[in-house]
Amino acid sequence: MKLRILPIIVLLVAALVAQAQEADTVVLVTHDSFAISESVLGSFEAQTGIVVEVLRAGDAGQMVNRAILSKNNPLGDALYGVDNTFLSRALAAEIFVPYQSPALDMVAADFLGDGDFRVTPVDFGDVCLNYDIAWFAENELALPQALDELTDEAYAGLLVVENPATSSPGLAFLLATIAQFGDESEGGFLDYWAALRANDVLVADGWTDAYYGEFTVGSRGAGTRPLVVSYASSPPAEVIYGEDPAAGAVTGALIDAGMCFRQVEYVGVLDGAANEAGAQLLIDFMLSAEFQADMPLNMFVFPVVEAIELPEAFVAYAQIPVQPAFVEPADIEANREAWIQAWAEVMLR
Amino acid sequence: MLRLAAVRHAYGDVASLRGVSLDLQAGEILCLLGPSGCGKTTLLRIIAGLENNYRGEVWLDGADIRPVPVHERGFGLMFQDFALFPHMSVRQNIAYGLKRRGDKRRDIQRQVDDLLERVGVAGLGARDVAALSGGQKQRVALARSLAPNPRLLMLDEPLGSLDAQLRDQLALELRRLLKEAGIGAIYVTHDRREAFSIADRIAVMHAGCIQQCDTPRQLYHKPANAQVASFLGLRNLYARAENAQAVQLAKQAHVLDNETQYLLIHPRGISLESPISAPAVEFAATLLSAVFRGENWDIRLRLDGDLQLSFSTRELPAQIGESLRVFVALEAVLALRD
Amino acid sequence: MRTWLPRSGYALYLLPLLFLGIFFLYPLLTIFDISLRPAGELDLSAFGRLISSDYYIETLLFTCYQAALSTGLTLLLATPCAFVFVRYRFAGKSLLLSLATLPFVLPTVVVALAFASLTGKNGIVNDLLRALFSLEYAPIQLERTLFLILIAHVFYNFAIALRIMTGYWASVGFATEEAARCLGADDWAIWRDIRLPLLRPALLSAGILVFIFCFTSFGVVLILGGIRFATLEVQIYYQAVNIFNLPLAAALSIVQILSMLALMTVYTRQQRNLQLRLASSATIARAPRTAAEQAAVASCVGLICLLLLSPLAALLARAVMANGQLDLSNFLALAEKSRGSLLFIAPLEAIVNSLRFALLAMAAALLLGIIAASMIDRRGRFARLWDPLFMLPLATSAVTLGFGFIVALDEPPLNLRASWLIIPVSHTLVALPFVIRSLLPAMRAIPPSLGEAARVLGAKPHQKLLSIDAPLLGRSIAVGATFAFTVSMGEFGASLFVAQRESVTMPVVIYRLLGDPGLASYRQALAMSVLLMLVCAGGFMLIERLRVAGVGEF
Repeated sequence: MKLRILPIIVLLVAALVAQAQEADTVVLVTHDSFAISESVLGSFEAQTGIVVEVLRAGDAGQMVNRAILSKNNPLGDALYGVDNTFLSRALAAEIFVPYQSPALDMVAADFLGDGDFRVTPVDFGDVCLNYDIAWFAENELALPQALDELTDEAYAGLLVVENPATSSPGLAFLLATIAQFGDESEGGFLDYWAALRANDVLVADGWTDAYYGEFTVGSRGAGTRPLVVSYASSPPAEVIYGEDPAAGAVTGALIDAGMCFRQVEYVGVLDGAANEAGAQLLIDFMLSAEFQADMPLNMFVFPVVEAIELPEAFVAYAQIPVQPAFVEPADIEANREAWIQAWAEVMLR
Repeated sequence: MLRLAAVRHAYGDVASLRGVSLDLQAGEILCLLGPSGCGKTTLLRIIAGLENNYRGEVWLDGADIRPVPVHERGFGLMFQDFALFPHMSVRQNIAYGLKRRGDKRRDIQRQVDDLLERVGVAGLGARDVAALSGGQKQRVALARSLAPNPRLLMLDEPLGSLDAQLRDQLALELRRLLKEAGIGAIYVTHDRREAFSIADRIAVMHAGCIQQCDTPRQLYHKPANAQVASFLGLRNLYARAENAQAVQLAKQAHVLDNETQYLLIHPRGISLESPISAPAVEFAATLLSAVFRGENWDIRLRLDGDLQLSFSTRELPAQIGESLRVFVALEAVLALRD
Repeated sequence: MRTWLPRSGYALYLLPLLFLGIFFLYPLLTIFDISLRPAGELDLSAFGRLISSDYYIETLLFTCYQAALSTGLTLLLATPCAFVFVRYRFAGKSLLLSLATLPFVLPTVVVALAFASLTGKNGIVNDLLRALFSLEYAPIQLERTLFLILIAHVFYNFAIALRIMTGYWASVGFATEEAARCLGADDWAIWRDIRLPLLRPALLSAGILVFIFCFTSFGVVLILGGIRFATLEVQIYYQAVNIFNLPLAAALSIVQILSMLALMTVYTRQQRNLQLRLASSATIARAPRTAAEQAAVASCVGLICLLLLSPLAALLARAVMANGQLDLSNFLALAEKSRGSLLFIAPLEAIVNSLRFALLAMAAALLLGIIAASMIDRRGRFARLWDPLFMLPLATSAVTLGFGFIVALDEPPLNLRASWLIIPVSHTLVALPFVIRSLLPAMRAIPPSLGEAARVLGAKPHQKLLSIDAPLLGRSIAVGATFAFTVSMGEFGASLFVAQRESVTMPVVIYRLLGDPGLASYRQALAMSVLLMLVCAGGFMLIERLRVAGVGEF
């Protein structure tokens, strides 16, 4: 009788549900793109005797929202991966408890996201335009050196951007244009975008679609756009994981003043954490040389600790913008919907 | 009207029809009688045009109808399970063929009413077909196939799923309806009673061949071979090699030839008091068994000399085990091939 | 025989209801409660915002419009193919059916890439046309058109329609259409008067599934349609995740669910009026004979190749070819632990994980689905309610339900938030409607006398279910099983949230690889997609074989 297996299933389920959590673990809630070498986490375990359990909770936005929803019964002990575009939402929801890590001494003060130390910066990355080196050489076209040059006829039909409503680099680029041109309802960034639209800018849904589908390099010739909104760390990635690492750079990033938007990722101790001490130890560890040096090649971000030596490819091919655009996290949270809505009005009508 | 010549058909490697030839007169009811799997249904489907991969010829009124598609043949076909359209009412089922023919709505209305009346289900027009009894379904299916006035109606075991009493009654009704409509019909059945009550002529089929095609009376009295005789339920069939006394009788009747394999002593020539016709042979016999059938007795007796005979009689002439006299008319002794 | 079940057997019916209640209704209502009562008082102003703005009404209309078009197109193409599949025997039929089901498991991003490499500006088709007619421009420009959305929806949903209809059609048989033919119906009349009306339960069943799928379409609309097109589902995601406007997201979710509920209720009533008790007639597929029949088979095969297989082939080509040569290095690279990352998972491990969840979800969905379908089939007072209820998980935005899990299932004994159990549970929720929709038309066509006969012979209700219904429904159960398997193999949303190694399934690996920078990761993602397709195709074949061995043809 097939039904005999039913009670077994029920028992199994009950047993699994009742499965107790191991004592000496710290649960790190993070986003989908979190990656680090196993050996690095192993070393944390060796130093402290604490096992790190990684819990992925969707993309950065989903992760923050989930953390907020589960505020009274947190998903884990520490949350890593909230960036400056979502920071004020997380802080306003009071999901973190303050912790001032001694390792913060080695971090430049302008990375600090919160004066009360509810979050600790870990890494940063800049959203910049990437260009196809070979294409610009072949077409003998000068590289744009400021955002408003992109509305020149010379660059018509060359740029692909991501939809800020659905893509994090898309939003970052929108913020860069807001920082540059202002958010007045008359003129400002909306006029700029209208000009971009007139200049045949292409809007893709997400980074993958834009980079692999439309960008001439990423799509291997299938796409038609030699300019794409991507990261300052994309050129070294393109070399390391490209078809021929020996051939050198095939893409470059445009890092002139005001053309990039910096995303800083933070970690914080969740309010109500079962293992608050463990979470604090983990935050210290994330600022350690070992962790900081391992991040670039795993997540293609830059360490916030200045003294860290970057991998060879980063040194050779990555550039760090000196003057990235800046928008207050509180302004971002307050205006995000209105800005995106206004942007959509201009771009989609 | 309809003529088949040398029709052959196979399912894969298995031959289902091995050269069937057949003629049907206008208005005639022909029965295809045979055990299941003998190819009757396949033959019907070929005539209807539902089966295409066959060899042989199919003529209708002097025209080759092989290239004519099913829906243009104007034949009716009543299926074994009736194949009523489950999504239509009784009325819609019957009207379907008329609609396809392009009749006017008012005419259809009138004709359907008429048909409902004729097949005896007046008043059921609005019913759902799922709500009909077996007999009602059969009547509706018949009305549906009669409606467009087919040139030829084919019926595949139309009474197969009904009980015996209803079957007898409906078979007679069916014959009356067909004759009234003057439609030529091919009627497939495995039941000889049904065949006898409905057919003008019966074609007995076995293993993909027509064994004999004749009027019911001829068929019964003069079965062409042992297969036909046994399928008609004729008892007293003896293998030539095994029964000397039967061979002796055949010699007396001058019917034996080299090709004879079986001998049949037709029950109609067996009698108790006096011979049915001359010349006849008289035997002494012992009564082995007697079964009361109402109007008569089915009895079985053993002749002196061991030959066993079965037949029916009005009166029970003796008790079981007692001896009696029996006459066999020589004209009832038939020599048959396999 | 003693069983652990109460004598009545009706307790069995509680099983699917409990499942739905605990894992669907409870989380959903909890998140709605939190969203719409933020300050302890019911605040419905979000609904006001929906009505006051043209934007949301237009979104709803567009959502319906594209779903209706997609469904119509899918049914239009799948119905003749279903006929060919049931009626004719031809070489490679079951292989073709398996291949046609593959799109279902592919992540949208991968499908988008497949379409781009086929019909994109520099895709194979345009290259070919340019070369043939020496054109300067790309003659076919489908990118970001509604047409491409429709094509992609057909690509995804064709197999749903095909499988449900073939499963049902085989039990309908062809006797009635032969009868109609004899009554003077030509091909056109046969389709109009016999085939389509008789097929209606399956058409509706398939249609409703496809419609719901297209109605809640997310990735296809986003990626292939571009930003000009947005469905309700896209709006819900945007409001819930990017804006974190939970009241508005909840209001949109409720609108979406209510629309589906209304549709389902109409549909359920329709289905009920179609109480066709079909005699289960033997249907023997035969070889196509006439030229017209052969042409029908050829065009069916051609359509499937063109519509479904050519994008898959383009994908395959991109995965195994580099610079015009066969290059399997991507597959080998998949197995290399080159980065020592904690994300790394060996392909075999991912395959095993995927299969484990798929089998678990398939078993659960079949068990619950058979019980639920027979409960709905009882036509009791509540059946009308159960039917739409079980369809709702399909109509519910994944992100809404995901948030619901977080807030509702967070306490022992149901602390599932971080447990791998959430994976098979959520797969089962989505697979259930497929199993039920596959089973119901066939179940309704079984004459009740069969079950009554079994009951007279002493079968308890659940025994009747297993001894009479299950074998008779063999074909439809196989269809449901295939879908349950497929849904689970292709889903990755739920798997992403769980950390343990054993929860990393094949689509998760694809998703992660696509998120990694560099062409090599991208090509490895394609290689993994090919592996996913291969494993699924193998699964379909196995299910098909098990069915033939276990129950045989009816």
